[in-house]
Amino acid sequence: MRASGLNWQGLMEQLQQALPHCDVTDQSLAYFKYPKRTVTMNLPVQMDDGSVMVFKGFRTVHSTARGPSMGGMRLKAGLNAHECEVLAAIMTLKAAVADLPLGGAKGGVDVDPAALSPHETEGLVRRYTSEIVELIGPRTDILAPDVGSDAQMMAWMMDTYNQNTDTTVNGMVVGKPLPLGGTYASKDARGRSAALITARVLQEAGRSLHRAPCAVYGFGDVGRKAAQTLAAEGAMVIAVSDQDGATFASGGLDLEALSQHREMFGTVEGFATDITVNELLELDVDVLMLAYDYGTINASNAYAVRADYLVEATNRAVLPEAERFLKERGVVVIPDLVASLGGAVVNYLEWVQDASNFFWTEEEIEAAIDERVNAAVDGVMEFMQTRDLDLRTAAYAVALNRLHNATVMRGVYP
Amino acid sequence: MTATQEPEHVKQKKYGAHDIPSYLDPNHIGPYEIYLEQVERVTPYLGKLAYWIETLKRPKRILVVDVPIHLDDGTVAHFEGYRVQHNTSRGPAKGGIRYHQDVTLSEVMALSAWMTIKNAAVNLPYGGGKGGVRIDPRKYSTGEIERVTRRYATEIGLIIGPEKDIPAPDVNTNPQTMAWIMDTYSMNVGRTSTGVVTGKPVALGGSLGRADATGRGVFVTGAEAMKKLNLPMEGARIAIQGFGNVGEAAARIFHQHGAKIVAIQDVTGTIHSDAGIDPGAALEHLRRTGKITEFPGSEEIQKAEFWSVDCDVLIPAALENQITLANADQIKARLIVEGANGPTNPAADDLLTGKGVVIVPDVLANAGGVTVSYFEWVQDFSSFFWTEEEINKRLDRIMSEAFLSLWDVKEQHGVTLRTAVYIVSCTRVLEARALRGLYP
Repeated sequence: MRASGLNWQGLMEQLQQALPHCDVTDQSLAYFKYPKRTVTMNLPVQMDDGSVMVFKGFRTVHSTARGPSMGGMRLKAGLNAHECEVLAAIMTLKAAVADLPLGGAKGGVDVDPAALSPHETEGLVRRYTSEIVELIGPRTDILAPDVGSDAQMMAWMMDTYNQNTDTTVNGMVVGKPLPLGGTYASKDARGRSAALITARVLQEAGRSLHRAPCAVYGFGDVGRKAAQTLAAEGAMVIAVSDQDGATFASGGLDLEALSQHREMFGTVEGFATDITVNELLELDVDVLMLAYDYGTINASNAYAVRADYLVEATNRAVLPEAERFLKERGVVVIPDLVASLGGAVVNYLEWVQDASNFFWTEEEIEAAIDERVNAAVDGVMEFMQTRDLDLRTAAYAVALNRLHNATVMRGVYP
Repeated sequence: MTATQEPEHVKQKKYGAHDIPSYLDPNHIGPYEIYLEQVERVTPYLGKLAYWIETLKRPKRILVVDVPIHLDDGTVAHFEGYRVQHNTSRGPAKGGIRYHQDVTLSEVMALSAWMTIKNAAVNLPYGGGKGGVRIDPRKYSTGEIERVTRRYATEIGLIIGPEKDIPAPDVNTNPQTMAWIMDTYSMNVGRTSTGVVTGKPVALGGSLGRADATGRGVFVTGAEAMKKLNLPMEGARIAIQGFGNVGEAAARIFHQHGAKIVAIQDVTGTIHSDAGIDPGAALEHLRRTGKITEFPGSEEIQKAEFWSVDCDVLIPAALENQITLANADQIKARLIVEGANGPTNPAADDLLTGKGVVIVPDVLANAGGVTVSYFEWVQDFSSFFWTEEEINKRLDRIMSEAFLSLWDVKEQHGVTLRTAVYIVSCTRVLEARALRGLYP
């Protein structure tokens, strides 16, 4: 799968469009333009063959104006500080859109996780955690699973932090396994609410998901749950892709059977009619759900997109240069700040439970997620309609206003 | 030949790859040996998790402290103090502190391990811990006990805390003792820290619902077991031994739900009534006359006759070792709910199980107390306190979920509930251990 580079400048240009609709000043905007801190570290790991390899790790805390920062920890070849800074800024905005008392962060290691053994991965994750142990914690900076990382790695991070600080605190990392202070709905929340928000946006436009052909790019936790939820809402999911390729059935895919197929063979290929991932992106569908990583739709493939709605279930799936072009053609992008709110909200709710060590039932969690996501979407939609903006610009404006208020009230210190 | 006389190589085989820890006497291991045997027995049920089994046999951390105080007569006395953190895989260590002249390290180790088992059985996010001071509190003044408590709290202050290890009352300690520990710890760390201990007075961050908690847990687990046995609650005949904190609350709540209390035994005697006893009126009668007997509408029966009373559910909620081979075959109940600690001795347990009687074991049945301790700690984090109704609702949920998951394991493996507790608890602890891995 392809992913073009992230661009800080692109983010700033998009923000510019929102500025006329915000209360921000140059001073409060400066706090947004410059991430609070980025740590770069070199991480030596003893490899299984006895050699030592040194990996580059990063952690950006973009903003703590509204609360401790929270954001993913990704293992990905080619990761760099710039990528972490852009994604951390988006996390700041997303937490503000959802009105969570959190700031934004992102980090990770430049490594291809598939090239490491479990033992080497554990060594790397624990070394990474040790290097930033003074900078993370339930009241400072909270880590979460991201591209290439999972619940087991969160367990190692929590254990490393506990051993170094002689505590049993679990709120410094979210997305943990249930027995270690994790929460229900953790894996499903992002995909589920991406699909539910899509249904809602279509409804506002006088359309419906009923029998609507949809394609889903990416079939990890997010893509799988998004596809299932789209189908439950009446849509026809006609194509799905993963890291190896894509599969297509014009009458709709049997998602249950597809999940089993993927579990058995490790890929969606060979389930129905195989197509390339590029062919999937070019399908004439009502909804194209983007659930892999940033940069899926970029300047080089935007011209071929035939979907009516693009949904950023993952951050920055549509790059700014592509979005400008698509907008002119009347394609609606449901932006990350709206479509992927479910993930940020469930992570927040896990942290809330960890703070009191009192855990909620599955029904309580799902109700709490829906309540917060719906309230956030209400806020963005209302702003959008009163100012006649697109969803992304409205989301930026809502978030920047909240950040501005917090920044101004706190003042400049010292 | 008893276990303690076995040659060393046999013992090594018996307890896995490692020797008995050097700080225990291999010839007199003490109560910890009982625990080790219990873990041995369920190891075959643990599957791949058995890889980590040694983790359960070794306490994480043992702290032995000297506790010197000025006595009222001007001399200085020294006491031995212990705090054992058996396991913290699932959360901070949690368990009581006892004051007793016979406290030993092996005993505190075993009690801390049993807290690991109990907390995991109810699925509380805790490991297990226990503490003790070797002192006969009856021989010392309140001032001396306060000084022992404060010095002991300071000595173990290095390793306790709301996110590390949370003590609670146990034998010869009480809410006042907890208040002293909370105060000492708070002074030492320079901030108010109510969550460092539970079982505090309500005025210092304690929880409502504590008085009834254990009796309520007996009712909730008993009621779930009755559903499994198709015993309707309405009119169910209940016999209760013990009419104190646990027995009285259990009797009252069963009565409120339509069951019939047909017999009550306490230290003052035994009463019986086929028509049923109103526990509220009986408590009133006890308070007024100082005895349970001569309660209007009931007949007094012999102490030993209590066991043969025609009933559906028997609740021993008094002392340990009450149900023995001397009375087990007279018991007519289909269900026994152990409100007290260790009321059924192993031989009687086997006999009753053989007859098809279901026993809800003490670790589960009387876990309502530690569950409300857990609620106290949760409330202390936010300094926001729940109503008694909220506490009862949450207690009911936790206890019935705990019962149901144990029942599933009992059915799955064809074992008793008592064995199921160990299977479930060891599995939960080792699952957390496996996820966390070893560091560094």
